[in-house]
Amino acid sequence: MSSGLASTRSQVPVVVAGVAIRAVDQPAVRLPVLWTRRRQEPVLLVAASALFSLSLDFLLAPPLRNTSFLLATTLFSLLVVRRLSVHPVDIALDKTPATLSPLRLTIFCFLHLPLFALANLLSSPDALYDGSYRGFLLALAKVLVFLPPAVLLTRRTWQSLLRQFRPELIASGLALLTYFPFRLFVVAWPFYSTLLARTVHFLGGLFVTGLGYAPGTSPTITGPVLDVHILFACSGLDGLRLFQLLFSLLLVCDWDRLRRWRTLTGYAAGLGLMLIANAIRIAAMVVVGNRISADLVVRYHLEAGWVYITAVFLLLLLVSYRWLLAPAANHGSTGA
Amino acid sequence: MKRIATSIAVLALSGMLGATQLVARDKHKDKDDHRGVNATELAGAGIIAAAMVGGAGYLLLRRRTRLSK
Repeated sequence: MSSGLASTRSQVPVVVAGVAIRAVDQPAVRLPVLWTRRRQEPVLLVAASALFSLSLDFLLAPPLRNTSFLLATTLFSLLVVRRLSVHPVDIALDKTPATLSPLRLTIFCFLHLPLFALANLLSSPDALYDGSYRGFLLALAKVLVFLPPAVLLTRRTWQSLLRQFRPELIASGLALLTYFPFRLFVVAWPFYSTLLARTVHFLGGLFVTGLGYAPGTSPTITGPVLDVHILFACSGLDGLRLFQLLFSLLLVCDWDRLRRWRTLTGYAAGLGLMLIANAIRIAAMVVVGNRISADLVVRYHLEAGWVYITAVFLLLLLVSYRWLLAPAANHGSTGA
Repeated sequence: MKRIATSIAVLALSGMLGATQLVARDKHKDKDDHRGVNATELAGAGIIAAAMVGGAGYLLLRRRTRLSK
């Protein structure tokens, strides 16, 4: 697929230790070798500094903790390492090859102090749900944690890096915005629970006669043998989180081989399919509980749920994995 | 040999999934006696075990895809 996000790996020659070879034949550069390239690649130090400082922020000021930030920064760091381990330094880009200056590093460290102070003054994570100025300030501090890395490099270097590592930034930005959308689910639950219960009622009704539907904050599917209450924990949020974690693993391991747009499509489709799979899971519980054994469902539905969600992910992967990957270059073959 | 080792690893991880969940469930039952884990911990144990099995499955598929090329 030719696009701004399409992988160009097969066309890029890699230069390591003075030897130019094709990228597809190039084994990954080992981390110590990669580390010696930090002078040419300030992004490595920026990513490492941001990850380290973010971890320190969360350790010293627990109210600042945000797993989405941590996942996004970790993902960005790993994707950058992955990319630099197989791609050359892009000298075509006008990049300022600069290490981090001590002054900038000092400013970077000092910028965290007000955030620590603010978070610890507000003291309680519950303050985030406080409607007063405390909640606003804490939310602000949680977002401002991302600002200090901005002082690490010059504006010109940042612009160059943003151009060069745009796919990695988009991927980590998506992780930041979409990972474990707990608050979104809380807000949407009154509507989503109704939709979920109606879907389960319809699917279950195909196999079980006499099913009823009792609306409410936790809607209930009433059956001749077993009533199933659809709680918030049944929303499929944990299944989404599992999918996102495993998809992150796929991104890190296969970043240089993935087709970017297909990956984006696969991610969006995967999220939707996990929600559909969750509805099917609850419908299966209703059917099995009312047709086979209510006791079986009551005792094992949690364990069966995790096995089921894992199986769904692996099935999705089995179907789409080759589609996500870019075709390998045909070395030694001739065009007819 | 590697294939056998990978299969054993996947089986071991699957066993861990079952064992972790059963232990967590038993502890969850004990909650009434104020000794067990709560539902959040139960979900946490589940997602870790499921992520391990899912990750092992993905790595196995990745390896097979590379070998088949």
